Amino acid sequence: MEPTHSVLDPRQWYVEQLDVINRIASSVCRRNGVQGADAEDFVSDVRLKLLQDDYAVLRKYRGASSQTTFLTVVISNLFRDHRIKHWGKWRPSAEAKRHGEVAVRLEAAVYRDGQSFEQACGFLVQDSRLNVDRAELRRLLASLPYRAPKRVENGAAIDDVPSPDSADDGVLDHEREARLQAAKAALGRAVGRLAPEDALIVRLHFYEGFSIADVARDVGIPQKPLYVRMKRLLETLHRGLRSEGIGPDDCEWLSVEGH
Amino acid sequence: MAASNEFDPDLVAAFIDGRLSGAERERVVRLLAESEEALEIYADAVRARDDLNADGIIRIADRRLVPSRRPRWVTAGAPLAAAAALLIAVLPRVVSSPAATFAMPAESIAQPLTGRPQLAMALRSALDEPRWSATRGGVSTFVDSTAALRLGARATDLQVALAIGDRERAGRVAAEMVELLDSVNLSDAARAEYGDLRKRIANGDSIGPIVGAAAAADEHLREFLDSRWYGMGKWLAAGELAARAHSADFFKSSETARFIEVAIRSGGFAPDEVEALRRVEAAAKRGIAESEFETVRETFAKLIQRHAS
Repeated sequence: MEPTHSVLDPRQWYVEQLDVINRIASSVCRRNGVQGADAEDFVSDVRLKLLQDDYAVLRKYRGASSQTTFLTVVISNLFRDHRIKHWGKWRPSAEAKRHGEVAVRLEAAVYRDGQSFEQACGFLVQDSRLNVDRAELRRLLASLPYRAPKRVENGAAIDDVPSPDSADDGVLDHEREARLQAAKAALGRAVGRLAPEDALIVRLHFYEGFSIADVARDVGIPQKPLYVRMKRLLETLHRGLRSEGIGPDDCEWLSVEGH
Repeated sequence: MAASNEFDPDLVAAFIDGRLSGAERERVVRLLAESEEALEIYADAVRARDDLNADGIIRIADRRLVPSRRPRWVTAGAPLAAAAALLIAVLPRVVSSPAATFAMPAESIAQPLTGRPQLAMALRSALDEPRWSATRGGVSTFVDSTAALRLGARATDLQVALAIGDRERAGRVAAEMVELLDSVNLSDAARAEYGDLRKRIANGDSIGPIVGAAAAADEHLREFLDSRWYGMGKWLAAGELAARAHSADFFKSSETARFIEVAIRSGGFAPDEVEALRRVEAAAKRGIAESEFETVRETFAKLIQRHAS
């Protein structure tokens, strides 16, 4: 690491970086499907938090990283607090994030806010900035991972969310959920037994949706050997799951449609 | 978070900047490996940094700006969905998803052919035949289904050519792939990889490592294109070659049966094409008769011709 050094006057830094701060906050909002007044509120909130206690957050900067990257981490941390406060555990899927703003907003409208596809279409199609049509939105929704839709009070159930199978049978749903939870717990234990860097690679690739190339770049390891390494890791996890009795019968429930 | 007492934004940012080594790097790697919350913050920060980079505010090492190149079924975000995706990846032989079928390497798809060199030798003349109406000088694009399908078809041709040691044809196919990639934006890395492959073929490097490099290039290209049409092209080309070679093994394999089923359900084909695929499916199930192989070959050839032209 580079030698630690004191930050310049945090007040001066804040003023100089204000545009960057706004852009980072806006980017995080856009990536997470927060727009309009909600996004403006978050951006204001970020500025306020950075000012609080005589720039206490900025004063934590020791110079180990670049100032801009430090700000991206700080603001992402603030967004996490914001997300939990407003949405609880819900967060956009990595798949939606990869598709961009439209997909994140569509996913949030349908799965987080419990809107029907028609309702979600209504406001997304009208947003001229987005330039999408119904057919494209339909394809986009079909390509996103199915998530149990949030039930809405007025009974306006989501009647047209693509579902991977006939999961409307309550008993099957319950059994599927139980088996999935058991498989997930076993998987968590198997990943937990990996070496930290291996576990990070698996989590970035599968949980955060980073490509192999991006994982290699971000973790600072060569890309080409990573394909072989990933294969070995999956084999290790496979063995770990089988040792806990997780096999085909459990996982046939998980099959989802590709695009 | 579990990391609330340990989360050091400056240290995590330094990791993103690639400035850490030794114990400090290990500390951050462990934190990100063990804390879901820290990982979420880190991932959002990396994405925000990419956005800044794209805006031209800061310059960081190149990072592709095209939409990500991942199998569609690999999902993340919601922990349960992520776990499901990982489970599917971990147990690939017992859980088959459509995307997994399209994501199969050309090497595996063509294995029933390449595993029998005599069979593959019979295909030699077919490997660099025009499979579609050539168009040149088209507009540059990130990638469309036509380009993806063409590249997929040639990826299979390349594997078969390498398997039989036909350097001349393998070199021509690799050269065509480089040319095809010229029309795909941001494909510099893939173009360079296939260009390198062509050079190695021409230079007389031993075939074994070249086959491995071709398989890696196929995987990188699949990830870059992130299009089911790339996988579709690989399968259609393999089907056409297998029918040409009267390979009963290819059509008996469960992977082929799965591909035909997935292709029918994909929504990517016109009704008459679906009908033709259903006939192939029925024939494959009962065992394709010698007299039927030509009809099957025509079906695959037409599908390639229509969707790659």
